[in-house]
Amino acid sequence: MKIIHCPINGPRPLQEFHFGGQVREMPVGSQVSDAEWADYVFNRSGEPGIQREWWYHTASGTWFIAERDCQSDEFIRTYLYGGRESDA
Amino acid sequence: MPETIRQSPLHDRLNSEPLPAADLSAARLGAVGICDVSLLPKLGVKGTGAAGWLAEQWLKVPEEVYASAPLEAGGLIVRLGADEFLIEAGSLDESLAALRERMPGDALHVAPVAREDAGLLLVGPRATEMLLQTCGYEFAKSPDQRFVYTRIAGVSCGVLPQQILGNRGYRIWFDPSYALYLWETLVEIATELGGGMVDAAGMQ
Amino acid sequence: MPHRLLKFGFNKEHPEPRMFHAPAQLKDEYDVVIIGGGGHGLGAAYYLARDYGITNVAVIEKGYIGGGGTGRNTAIVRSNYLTNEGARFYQASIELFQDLSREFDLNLFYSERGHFTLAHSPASLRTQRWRAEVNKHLGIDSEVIGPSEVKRLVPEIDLQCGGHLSPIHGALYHPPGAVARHDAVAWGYARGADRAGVEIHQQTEVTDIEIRDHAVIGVHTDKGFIKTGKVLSAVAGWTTAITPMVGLRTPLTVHPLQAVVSEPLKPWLDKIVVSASLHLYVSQSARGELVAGASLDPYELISMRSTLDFTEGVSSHLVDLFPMLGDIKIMRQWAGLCDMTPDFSPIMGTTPIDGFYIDAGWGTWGFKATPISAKTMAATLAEDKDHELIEPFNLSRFSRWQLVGEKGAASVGH
Repeated sequence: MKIIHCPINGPRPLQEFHFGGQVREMPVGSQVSDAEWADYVFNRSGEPGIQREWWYHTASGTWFIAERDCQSDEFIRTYLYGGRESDA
Repeated sequence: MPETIRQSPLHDRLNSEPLPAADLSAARLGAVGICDVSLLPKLGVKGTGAAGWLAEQWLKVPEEVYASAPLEAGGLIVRLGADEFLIEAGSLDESLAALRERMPGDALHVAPVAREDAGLLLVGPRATEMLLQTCGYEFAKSPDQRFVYTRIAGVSCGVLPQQILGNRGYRIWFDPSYALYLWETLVEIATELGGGMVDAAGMQ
Repeated sequence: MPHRLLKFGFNKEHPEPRMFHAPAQLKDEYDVVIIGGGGHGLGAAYYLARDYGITNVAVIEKGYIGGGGTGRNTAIVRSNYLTNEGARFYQASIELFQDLSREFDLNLFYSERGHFTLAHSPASLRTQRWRAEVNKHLGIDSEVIGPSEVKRLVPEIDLQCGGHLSPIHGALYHPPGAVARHDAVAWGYARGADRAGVEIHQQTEVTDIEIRDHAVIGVHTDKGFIKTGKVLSAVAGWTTAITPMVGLRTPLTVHPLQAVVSEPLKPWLDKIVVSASLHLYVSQSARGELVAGASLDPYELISMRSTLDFTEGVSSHLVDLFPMLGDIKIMRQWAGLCDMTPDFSPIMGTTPIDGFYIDAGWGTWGFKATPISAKTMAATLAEDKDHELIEPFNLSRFSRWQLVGEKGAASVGH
């Protein structure tokens, strides 16, 4: 069973989580061109390698960030947005 | 003031047909029993002033997140987060309603949270085994009175392990819209394990 | 083993027939390099040779041909899509498929079964009606049928779904829906392309693409550099490893999709049954095995690992739909990669880089589009202009906000 370390609730099985997509910075809509905005809305990095992602622990309602290798499926580390890292 | 009507989300199910093993009393419980305790009054308290205000009400406030403590008047309090608490009364009285009425306004940063959770008790020597079958969290290794958020049979639940009738038992809270599904799923498994439903009266 | 047979086997005068040659080494230069030896890449090579006489072509495949999405899908072909652009495109594909066995002189076991997309709610039934109307308008055989008709055509189905889900309200029925032998499609195109002079290089990996002045000038592989002015990337689930080589950004995210095959059973299911609500689609193969797939794995992953979660889920949903299957055994399971787009339509055609063409975004709908994608991509490469059928699918549609929304017809329903 795949285990993910929730920064609040500790190690839990994958079934308790939802994937929330890559972490991306939203540009200020009024300050970018239509093309830049479309790039933000649609394009993703999608490359094999480590990416920063949003994950959600459903039972407790905790959103957090995971750095994960999307090819080997290895979680490198997890932490709250702008906050503390898990003990993992 | 209108009369409060409180009804378990399992009310219709429990009153619609004779239930198997409905007379299974706690004394004879050799396996696992499930009891609907949704009717116990609950109150959520939230806000940066919540811990301080609860202490002023002479309630014992657990210091760590996910710690819990019994209340002197019966019932218990669980710390769900730095600024969030869940209180469940020990009986059907109106003590929590009174507590809620004493709650100050916004100025002290304390706010009530309506809690309509369904509540189940899982009791008996095979209760832990039952969670092993339905839940990814390893309760055999978790301490008593330490609250855990997890999923049971796919439903997000808050679970408090505690000693009930001389065995490790579990208090489970969850969204009432899943009450019927979770109840029937758990009763089915409990029946396979040689247990079944327990009347709340049998728990006294 | 009889002595004569053994002698025959080792006799060099009667070598085992091969579908295509294995060229000794790469040439220094090709007119076209196609990355990816799946049905799409091999097919594009085939049509480049057949329709345009372009035969100085290399198909570069990192593994073996048909080993990616081509050999990992659940082999369903249908055209009952939601948009004009989509339905027209997939209908053209079906028409090519119907004639492909004859053209290849190779039996693809193309078998028209009738395809049911079950509706478990009034909302779902509404989408099916919409699809049926779009389909009929375009001359595609497609209609909404009620639960009793579903039961009549598939008597084994439990309309109540075991009581675990809302019952079946009806279905979109698409009689031309078919299954085919998917690896044979790759072989057929490979043999045809090979006969015309195309080189197929397996076990060869593209490591970089050389660009000068916004134009492709060559391809680096682990077996050396090849000069070429035209590159087609037809690698579906591995596209996100190729596009950074040319500095192209895409909306693609890659998810695995898993499938299972049961033990062989006597023939009982001659239809293809799909339920989006149960995340399930199932058909019975010519060998009697049930082939069943599910929805995408729930998070991004560029890996073809299998999970127990999936087997449990797909098995329980199979039993919800067909209670009699409770005792059958799962023989094997596997995963394929799905390069998903936001609008559930492919990304095809020219790109801002001269000489770099893309055939990607094949998510869960790639196999059924194999012939038409191959043909239209060949036309696009030969004429350096998007073929009319695939204009709506150009990568630039995202920056133009002109998406081709096929989610209602493409997700789960295969």
